[in-house]
Amino acid sequence: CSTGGGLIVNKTEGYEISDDALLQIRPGQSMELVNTVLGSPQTTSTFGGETAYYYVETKLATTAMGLSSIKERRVLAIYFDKNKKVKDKALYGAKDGKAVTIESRRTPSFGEDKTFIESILSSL
Amino acid sequence: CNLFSPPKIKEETIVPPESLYQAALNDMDAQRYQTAIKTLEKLDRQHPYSPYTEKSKLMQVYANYRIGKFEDATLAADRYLALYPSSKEVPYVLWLKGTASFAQIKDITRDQQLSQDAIDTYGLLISNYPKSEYAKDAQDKIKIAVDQLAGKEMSVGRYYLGNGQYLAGINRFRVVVEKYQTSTHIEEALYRLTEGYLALGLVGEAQTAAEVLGHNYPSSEWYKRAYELLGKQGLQPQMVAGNWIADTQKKR
Amino acid sequence: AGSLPGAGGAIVGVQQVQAQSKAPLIASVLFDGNRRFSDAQLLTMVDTATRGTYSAQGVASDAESIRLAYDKAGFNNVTVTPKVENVEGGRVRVTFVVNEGNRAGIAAINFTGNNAVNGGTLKGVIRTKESGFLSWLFRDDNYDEQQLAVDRDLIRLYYANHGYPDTQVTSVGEFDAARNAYFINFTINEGERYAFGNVGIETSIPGLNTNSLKGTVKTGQGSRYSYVDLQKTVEQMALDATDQGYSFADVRPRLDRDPASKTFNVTYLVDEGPRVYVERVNITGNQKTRDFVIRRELSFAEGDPFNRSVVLRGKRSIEALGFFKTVDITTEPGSAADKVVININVVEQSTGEYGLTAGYSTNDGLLGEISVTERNFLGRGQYVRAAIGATAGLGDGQNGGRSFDFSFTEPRFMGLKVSAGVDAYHRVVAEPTSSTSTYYGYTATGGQLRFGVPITRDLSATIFTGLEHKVFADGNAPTSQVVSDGLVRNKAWLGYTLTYNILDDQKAPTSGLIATFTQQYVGWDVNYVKSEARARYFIPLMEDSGLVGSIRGTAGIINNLDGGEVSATEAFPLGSTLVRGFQGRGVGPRLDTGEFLGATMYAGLSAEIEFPIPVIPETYGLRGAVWADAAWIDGTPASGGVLDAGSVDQKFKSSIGASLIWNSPFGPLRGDFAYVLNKATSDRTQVFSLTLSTLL
Repeated sequence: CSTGGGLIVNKTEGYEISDDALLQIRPGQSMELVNTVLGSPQTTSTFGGETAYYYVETKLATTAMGLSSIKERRVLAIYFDKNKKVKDKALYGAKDGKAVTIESRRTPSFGEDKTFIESILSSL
Repeated sequence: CNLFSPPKIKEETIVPPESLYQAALNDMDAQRYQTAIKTLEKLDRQHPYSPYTEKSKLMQVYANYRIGKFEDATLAADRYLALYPSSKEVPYVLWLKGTASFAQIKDITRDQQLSQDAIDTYGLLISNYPKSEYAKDAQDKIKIAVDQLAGKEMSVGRYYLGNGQYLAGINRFRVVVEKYQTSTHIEEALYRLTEGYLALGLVGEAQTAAEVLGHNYPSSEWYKRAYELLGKQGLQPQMVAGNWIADTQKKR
Repeated sequence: AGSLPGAGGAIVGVQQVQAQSKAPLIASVLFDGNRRFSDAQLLTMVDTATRGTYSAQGVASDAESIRLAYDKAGFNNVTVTPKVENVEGGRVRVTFVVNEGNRAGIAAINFTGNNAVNGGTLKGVIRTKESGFLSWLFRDDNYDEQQLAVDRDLIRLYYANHGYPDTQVTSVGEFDAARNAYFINFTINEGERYAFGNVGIETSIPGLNTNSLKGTVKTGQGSRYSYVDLQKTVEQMALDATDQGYSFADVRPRLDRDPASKTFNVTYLVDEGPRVYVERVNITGNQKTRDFVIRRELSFAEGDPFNRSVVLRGKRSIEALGFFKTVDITTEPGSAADKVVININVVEQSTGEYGLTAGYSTNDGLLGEISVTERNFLGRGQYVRAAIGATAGLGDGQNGGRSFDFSFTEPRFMGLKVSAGVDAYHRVVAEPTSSTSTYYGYTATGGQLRFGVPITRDLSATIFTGLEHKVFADGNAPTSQVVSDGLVRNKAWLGYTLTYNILDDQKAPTSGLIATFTQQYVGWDVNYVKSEARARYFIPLMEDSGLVGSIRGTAGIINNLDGGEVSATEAFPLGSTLVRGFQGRGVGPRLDTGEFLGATMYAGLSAEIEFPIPVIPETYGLRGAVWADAAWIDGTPASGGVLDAGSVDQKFKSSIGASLIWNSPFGPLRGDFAYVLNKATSDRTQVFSLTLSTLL
């Protein structure tokens, strides 16, 4: 019988940024070239005609219990100038990430949400 | 063993259409909508060609809606619209059908297909009959239904943010900022983007998101929170080159 | 009473002339001679009623749709004749006269050419069954061409999973009008038996070492060819590779056949699939279940790599929630070439149950319970159960009583894969009047907190802690020497359970091992540690015969930290659950007054062979078993009375016997017939006992 899954599972979330593809990106290259070398970006942004591509790669070690610790994170940002040529690129690591406690309050929203009694009755 | 066998259908006596229709109206006045619907269905069956059938089909839409049988109301409305596309009651039936979906809208953590149905039906009403008295109410209800769709994106975004999958969250909040700028969730979406970008270390983007939030909604409590959040990192909201959010706000 | 053909025709003819302007109106639509389908059911198949107008062609198509419905239900020689009569007011009454004829069943199914697999097993594999006295209930004896095609595939698949990859199956069915039944004959050409030759793993992914994946191979060298083992290996290997960080790993088996040695050499090719990413995951159809309850079952997020087997694993864990009738996952192209959108559509099913159960068990006598269970509370995936029960003790050693239980479980505590739950109970066990082994009752109120923590895929732990307040009642004779009336005992406990489970099937295991080890410290008015270990190993015997052998080992000990032995109220109440053939509370130390004490140390071993009962068709869910139990009981708990020497003169107990197991809606119900070999003189035996059988 197969040995049970190990205690720790290594997982890659997001983009697999290969190092040599990263090296090939140099200022002045066209957006199409970046698209072919790195693939389409995970998220993009445009500001006053200037676009930026973002690729995020996170390597995690997760236990069966769901506790996961970040082994390595690479956030690649590529900024383009007005005529869509690479202006510069920035590579952030896990240490640049700021510790943020997620705000728990939320904007109230419409919609019927069953109360305890209704949900018991509704499953009659 | 006739005792247990299911009831045999008995011969129906034919009743003239006008008395059937009248009986149904009386039932409705007496709040007996269920029997009224049965009588109207009998009228449709027995007198397919009588002029009363159109009125009966219209009343069926209303009766089903009134007692909360929204699926049946929608079906009855579709039947009416298919049979009498040019009747003067069409705006009313469209309004009834849209409101039937609208009344069933679930909270944002559930499938929002009903919100989408309400939007589509009301959209039809507004575009074809802009001057009808129902158009105004349809306008308001569409806003709420669209707000639900934005709420759904927010709830999934918050799930990913809480799960540490910041990029997945950011993409969901971007959908709100780009597609649902008039929804009540826009302020929180911009705040969540600040949180997500900060967590990823994209400090410039976080500052820009907060700046756009402050620029468009200066008195919003979400801006206050964003300001504090950046303050903790010794930053404050400002436009930083190479960022998209500012651009989407300028277009508005 | 058909209508006069001439007149009917004439009337219809005349109407025809007017028909151009308006078809005649329907007065009513009636049915006659139908038993299998009710009038209401037939009305839904007929659109003449809703259309309200008569047309010869419309009525004919209605008659045809009725005939088809009957055909599907196995009535192959039904006739449906519409009768049209004119009624006053120019209207028409349409009556559908149905002559059902009797149902054509299936007299016999036989197989030719099946030398590797016996006919009984094949009958279990296919869905079409021979007519039996219960087939009116199961309705599984319809002669239906599509079903036969499915049956042929089922047989081919069964052979492919048991060593015969090239089996061809044809079937032919003759109708015997005299017996109004079909004879079905499957001819099977099995082809050669194949086994797996040498098995290799090759990969083009740099850095992936293949022997780390060897553990997932189920198609070992020399083992018989099996299509399902191949699929399982492919999927598990791809998952193991992704778990090592190679998110695009995709596995395809390459089989090359070696006819000389009748083996298949298998090479698993582990390569990188296309670098495609998940752009968005849309979840639809969840009217009640909240979005995150489904989304958290997926081990990937939006923006992560797209991997076929990881998506499949997600689909299976959503289905395992048990909230949905169907879970469909479809993909469509995303906004860029290397992006894909995943759409998950679910159809919910009711997850609330209202239980009213009544039953009998040898330990508690008659028992009844009303329970409310909701497995998807408020759409958050939480489990809630409340039950009120009552037992009426009939036989000796069974005391009546009432119980109230409440239980709540959150499957994902604090967002982790840890489940947290709370149970609360209030039990009143009446003081038995006629019992010859228990002389006291009690009222107990308690609660417990529990946390379920998975450690690896097959090993999980549960940590639990709780409190209990118990008041004993011994008002009337015979007075107990274990407790005094009104004695109060408060307990608090903290413990853990380790469970190792590699069974191949949780409901009806045929191979694998399940083992649990529980240890708990109990304090407050008492001060002891209770430890119990249980393990059961299943082995399939004699291939394809459905014989399953199992060996079960159990052991338990209570160590009193205050020295000496714990009071009898805390001892293990040993009986038929440890070794069959003894009454509940029927084995182990006892006082000379007959009052049962229980024991503080026990060990048990049980070997069993379970087999399908050949004659009875499988759909009745009956199986048989023969078994042998042995147990060793020691450690007499403290009590106020004089020990009955006859209850401890033989510490070793053993019994042999046979059982009948019925797969009832409440779970597997067992009737055990036992013959005791060794016992202490004053142990109490019983030949027959009826219990709900559990895995351990």
